[in-house]
Amino acid sequence: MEKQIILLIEDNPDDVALTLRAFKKSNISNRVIVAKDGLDALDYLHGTGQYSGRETKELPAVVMLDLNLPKLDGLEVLRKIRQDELTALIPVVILTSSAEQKDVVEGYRLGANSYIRKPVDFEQFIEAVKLLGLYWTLWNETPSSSLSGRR
Amino acid sequence: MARKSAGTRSQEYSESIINTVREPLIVLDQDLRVVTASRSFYEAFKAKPEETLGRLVYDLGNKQWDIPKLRELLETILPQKASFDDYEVEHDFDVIGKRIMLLNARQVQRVLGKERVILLAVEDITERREIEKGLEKARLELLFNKIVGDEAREYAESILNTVREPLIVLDQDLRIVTANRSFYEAFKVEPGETVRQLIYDLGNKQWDIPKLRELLETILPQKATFDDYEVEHDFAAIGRRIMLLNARQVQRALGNERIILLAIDDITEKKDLERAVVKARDVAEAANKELEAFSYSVSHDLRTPLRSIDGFSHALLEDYGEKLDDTAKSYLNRVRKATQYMGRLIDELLKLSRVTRSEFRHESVDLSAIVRGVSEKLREDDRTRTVDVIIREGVIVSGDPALLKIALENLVNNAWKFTGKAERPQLEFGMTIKEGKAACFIRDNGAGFDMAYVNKLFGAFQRLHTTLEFPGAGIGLATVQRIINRHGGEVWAEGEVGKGATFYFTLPG
Repeated sequence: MEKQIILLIEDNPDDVALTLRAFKKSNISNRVIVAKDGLDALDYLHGTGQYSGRETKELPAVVMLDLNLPKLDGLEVLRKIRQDELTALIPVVILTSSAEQKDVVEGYRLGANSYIRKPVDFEQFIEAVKLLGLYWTLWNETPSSSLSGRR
Repeated sequence: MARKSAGTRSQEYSESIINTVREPLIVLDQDLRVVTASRSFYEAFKAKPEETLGRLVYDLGNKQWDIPKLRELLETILPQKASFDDYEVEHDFDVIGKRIMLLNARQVQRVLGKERVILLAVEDITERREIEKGLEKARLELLFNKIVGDEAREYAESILNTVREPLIVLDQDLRIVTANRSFYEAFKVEPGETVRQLIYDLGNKQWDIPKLRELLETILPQKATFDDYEVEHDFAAIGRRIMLLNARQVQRALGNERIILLAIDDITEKKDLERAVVKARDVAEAANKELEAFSYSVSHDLRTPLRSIDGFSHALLEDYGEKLDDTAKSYLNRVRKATQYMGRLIDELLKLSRVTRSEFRHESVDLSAIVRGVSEKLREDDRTRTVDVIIREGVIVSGDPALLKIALENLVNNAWKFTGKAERPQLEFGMTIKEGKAACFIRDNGAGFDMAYVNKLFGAFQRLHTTLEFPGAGIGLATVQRIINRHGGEVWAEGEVGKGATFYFTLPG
C-alpha cells in the first residue's frame, strides 16, 4: 500500500528545507506536500485552486501546521480543517516557534492533536521530527486510513 | 272716623315696617299671644299666618317655641326691665333643625291705646355663628401651625445644616425656601442672594440647567421623587462640576403646600478619580498588550532565523564535513553554540516577561516544600554531586505559588551551581530577622561574590562569573527580584568571594 502523504504547512523556505532534511535524516519516506500558506493548504485539502481535480478522498496521514502564516493564520486554518466534514478527522500537529500559552491553549481548543515547539538546536529538531513522523505515519491508526482502506 | 283712620294708618305703617325689616319679628299682646308676625318670620321658621296669629307664642309650630329660656325672658326679665337685648338662645326646631337665635324684645305702649304689646325680634345667627366658629378654628389652627411649624422648621433646618451634602428646599414655584450651609459653601453663594430666588436664577442664572429643568418640571411632578441623576454643568464661580441630584417632593406638615427637597452631591472629584483610574487601566492594558505582542514576536520571529543558522551549520558539517578542515569545523561549531546560547537567552527573557505579566494569585504557599522539591530534583539530575541541604520546615507564606516556585527554583539552582567547586557543598533555607522584619534566606558556601558588585547582581544579563566558570544567562536573579517585587517584598544579597552567598527576601502579607 502506498504511504499516505504528509501535508507540511510552512511559509519559511529555510524551515521547509530543514524540515524536509529532518524527515530524510529520520528515514521518513512519505511524500511531503508543502503548502506555503493557509489558503494553499485548504486548496490542497479541498482539491481547489492549483490542486483542482485532486482526489480529495486521499487524506494526509498528518498535517504539520505552522501558526505564523501569511494570509490565513495557522489557528484559522486549523478551525477550517476541523469545520469541514471531509477533513475534520485528519491528525493535525502544530509545529511552530511560539510556545505562548494562549497559542497552545487555543490550538488544543480548536482540536490540534499535538503541539511541538521547534527547538533552535537542529539535532533536537531532527529528534522531534523523527518521533513525530514515526508516530503519526506508522503507529497511529486514523479513521481516515481505515476508511480509505475499506473503500 | 278720622281718629280711626289715623289709627289704622299708623297700624298699617308699623306693619309695613315690620315686613320690610329682614329680621324676623313678632308682636305679642300682654298674654303673649301673637298679634302679628313679619313675613321674614314666616319664611325663617316655615310657619303660616293662620297657625300663628292669636296663638300663644309657646304653642307656635306644635309647641316648638316652648323654650325655657324664652319663657324666662318673656315672663321674668321683660316685666322688670321692659326690654332685653341680644339674648342668645339655641334651640332645636322640628322643621328647621338646630338654630342659634339672638333675641331682642321691647315692651311698648301701643300708640293711642292702653294695651301694651311686646316686640320680639328673632335673629337667626346660626350661619353667622358657624362662620365665626370656622374663622376661630382657622385662626387657632393658624396659630397652632405657626407654633408647630416654627418648631418643625427649626428642627428641619438643623437637620439640613448637619448634612454634609448640599441641600436646598424649594417651594412649589421652585423658589428657594432655604438652603443648608454646605450648599452655600460648595457653590460659593450667600443666603441673601439665594433665599426666595427662583432656582434657575441663582448665581447669575448659573443654575439654569436644561437637565435640571426637565427633572424639576417634568419628572418630579409625575413621580414625586428622582434619584441619582447625574448632571454635568460648567459654573462660572466653581468651574465644571459633575453632580448627582436627588429630590423628594413632600407635603409640608399640617399645611397644604408642597415643598421640594433637592440634594446635590458634587461627585466631580470622585468622577475624575474614576476616570483617571480607567485611563490608567487602559494605559496599563495597552502596555501589557504591547508587551505581549513584543514577547510573541521575540518568541517566534527571533528564534526562526536562529534555527536556520543552526540548522544549516549542522547541514554544512554533516554534508560537507569531509571538505572542511578542523578549524573550519570548529568555527561552525562556535556558530552553532552561540546560536543555541542565544536561543536560551530568548527563552529566559520570555520567562522573565511572563513573570511580570502573568496573573497574580494569592494563596498560602509552603516555601519549605518547594525548596525540598527543587533540591531533590537537582540531586536526581546530577547524582555525581553531594550537597548538604538544610531546610527549615513549615515556612508558609501568602503569595503566588507559581511565581514563588520560579523564584525559589532560581535561588536554589544558583546555590547548587555555585557550590559546584566547594569542598563540602552546603545549602541552607531558613528564616531570620533582618532590620526588624522576618526574612527568608537561602545560603550557600560556594563561590560567593565581591560585595563591590552587589548592585549588578539583580540586573538582567548581568553576570559576576564567566560562562566558562559557571554557565547561565544572567536572567535568574532579575527574575527573582521581579517576583519578590510583585509580592511587595524586597530581595538583597550578602556575599564574600570564596566563602559563599546569602540571598534574603521578605514577603509582606
